[in-house]
Amino acid sequence: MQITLPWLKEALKGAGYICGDDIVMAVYLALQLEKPLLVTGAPGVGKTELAKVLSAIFQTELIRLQCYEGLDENKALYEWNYQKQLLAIQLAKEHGLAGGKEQDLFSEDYLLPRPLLKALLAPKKPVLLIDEVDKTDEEFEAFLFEVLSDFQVSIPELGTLQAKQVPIVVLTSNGERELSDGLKRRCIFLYMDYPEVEKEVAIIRAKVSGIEARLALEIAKAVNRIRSLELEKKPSIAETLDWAKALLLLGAGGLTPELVDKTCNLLLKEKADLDTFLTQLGPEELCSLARERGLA
Amino acid sequence: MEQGQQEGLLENLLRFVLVLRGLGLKVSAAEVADALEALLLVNFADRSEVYQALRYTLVKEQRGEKLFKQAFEDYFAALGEVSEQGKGSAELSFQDQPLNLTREEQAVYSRLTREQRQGLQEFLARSSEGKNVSPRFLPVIEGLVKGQLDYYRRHMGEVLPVEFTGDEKLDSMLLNISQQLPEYEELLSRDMGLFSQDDLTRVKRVINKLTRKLSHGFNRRKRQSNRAGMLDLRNSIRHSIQHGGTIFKIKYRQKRQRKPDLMLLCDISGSMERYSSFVLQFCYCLNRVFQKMDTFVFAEKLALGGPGLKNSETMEKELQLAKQECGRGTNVGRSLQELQQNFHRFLGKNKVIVVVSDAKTMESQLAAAELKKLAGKAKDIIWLNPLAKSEWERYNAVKMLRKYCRMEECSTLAQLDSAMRKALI
Repeated sequence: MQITLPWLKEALKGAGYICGDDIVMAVYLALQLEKPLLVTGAPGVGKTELAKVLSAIFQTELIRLQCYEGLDENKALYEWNYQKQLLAIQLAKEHGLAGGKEQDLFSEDYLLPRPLLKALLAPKKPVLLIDEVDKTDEEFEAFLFEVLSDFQVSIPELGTLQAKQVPIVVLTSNGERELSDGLKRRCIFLYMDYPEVEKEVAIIRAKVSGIEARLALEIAKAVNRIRSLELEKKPSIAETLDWAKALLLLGAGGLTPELVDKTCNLLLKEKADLDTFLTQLGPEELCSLARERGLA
Repeated sequence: MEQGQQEGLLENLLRFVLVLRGLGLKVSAAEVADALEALLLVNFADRSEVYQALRYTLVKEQRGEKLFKQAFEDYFAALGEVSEQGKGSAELSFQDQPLNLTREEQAVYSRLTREQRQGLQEFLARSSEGKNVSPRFLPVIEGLVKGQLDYYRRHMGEVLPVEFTGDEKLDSMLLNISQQLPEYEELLSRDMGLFSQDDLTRVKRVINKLTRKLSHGFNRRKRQSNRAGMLDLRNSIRHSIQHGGTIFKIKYRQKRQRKPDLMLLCDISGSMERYSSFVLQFCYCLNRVFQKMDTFVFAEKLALGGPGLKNSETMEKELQLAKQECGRGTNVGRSLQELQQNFHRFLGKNKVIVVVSDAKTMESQLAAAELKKLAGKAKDIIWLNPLAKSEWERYNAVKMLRKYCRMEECSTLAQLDSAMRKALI
């Protein structure tokens, strides 16, 4: 399939992923250059969603490796099925057989592939999502180098396994720690920021069915204004959508101070942020700003 | 694309990469190869596509994007022009001999106001025509001009330090770009003593982010490790249950990374007046993040920081009271003596002591002796010195104190970031 920029843009839009030309270009380059795409940004801006959308567009499997502290090669790459090996030995003993050759016990029949190996051995080009890679440690990052550079892994008992199809790799990071230069060098780097009001309106209208244009605009403007405050945690796109759904459920035609007061905890999840919002802005002023003409 | 066109494209790309490297962005050869491949995939006629193709392959950190944007605009807009900046140094000559200025000094000269430049030129003109003046006075005149440029440099806002390439056109461009720094970059590289009240909100945000990131480095629970370390017998046996009791894998335990116990010693003497806003904010943010932190302030005497220092609203008032108590001069030795005699219960082998001071102290011998004693009672001593590193050799006290602690230059936020990372993580 010939991938072009216009085609990719339409495909992303068709899959319900509203984004700017900059994101389309980054994805396009990652696909054409067959490089992993490292997506960073605040939580809830659509990093993981991008991988899901790519798997829908290319109608392929999404293989997800959720990273966490303490993740190692056994859980990410492969593990030997020790129980099956022990059973095989036991059965061979009971049947008076020699106990099986050692190489039989270390064959692919006894291999438990984990996400990385699954992605490399998949018959059809999959999307490999390595989610929140900044939660792992530097040793695991170094381990990923071979996978992400050459799309191959070395298993001592089986040798080097090359990918049948180079997977589409998407790594996400919340920026909790600085990633190593070695990892960044191997990837196409994309920073996702919060969207502009216009984009956010489009996202709300695409994801929250039945919402009116006026309410969507007011919500987008309100959230945009709240993000300009000095907050510990700024509201993400996911939280904006939750808020929009809640307001729709409450039958809101537009924003009112009472509604904002009751539902602002869907946007602001820290007590300090709620206090900041109430002291520096407040529901009345927010509603007034949201109702002003234009997108500013 | 024809061979000749490709070579031309590569040459331009390499020169652009030189500019990026001069601005401090790390660009490897592999990334240059990726950038070249990416350029072949996009439409050359579309400037935004070319911009994005280069941006995604050459820039691998968010902070670099603003620098890249500025560099791209300057490089591709003015590829053939010679910047005015390069011409400035030709104006400085003594008896028709140009002064031998370094690139940094030329950069400072180019940033002077017209009046300041005229002042220097007039001085050189008068010196050149003076009675009994000969060309062998050139080194003396050069020294005077360099001294004046150094004075101007210390009193103007900082620019992003750049690494010159040796190519005149590119270096002029680098100078130009560094002076049109994005606001954020300028804030990071500006001397903290020059922050105005208007900057404090942004400074607060940057320090807040810095101290939160520091805290993240320590928020790790005890975890298992595959690297050899302490044997975790319990988990090894538990893991073996699934294999009928056969221990296939030995589990190891890694030492938990704890937040260090911190003690902050802030110099609030007259010589640190310019940095007091930064010191205030730093104390506040550190106090929020490292909750078990003891704060002391000192000048001629030492005083224990009260709870008011932990609160941004009462901090300024608390500091004024402390200044009245501690005096305006600096006596590090006496302050450290008081710390060890009257507050020894706050010390311990697990304590990391962070000192924020320019080390311009009286009784430097006493200061060094007391610091040496203190070093034996603490885990580590990190000295954050706002004084420029190039000036440390001029002060005897600084030279003596450096022997007993890790002294880091800390006049800008970027240096603070780097020093704290090295020291605490």
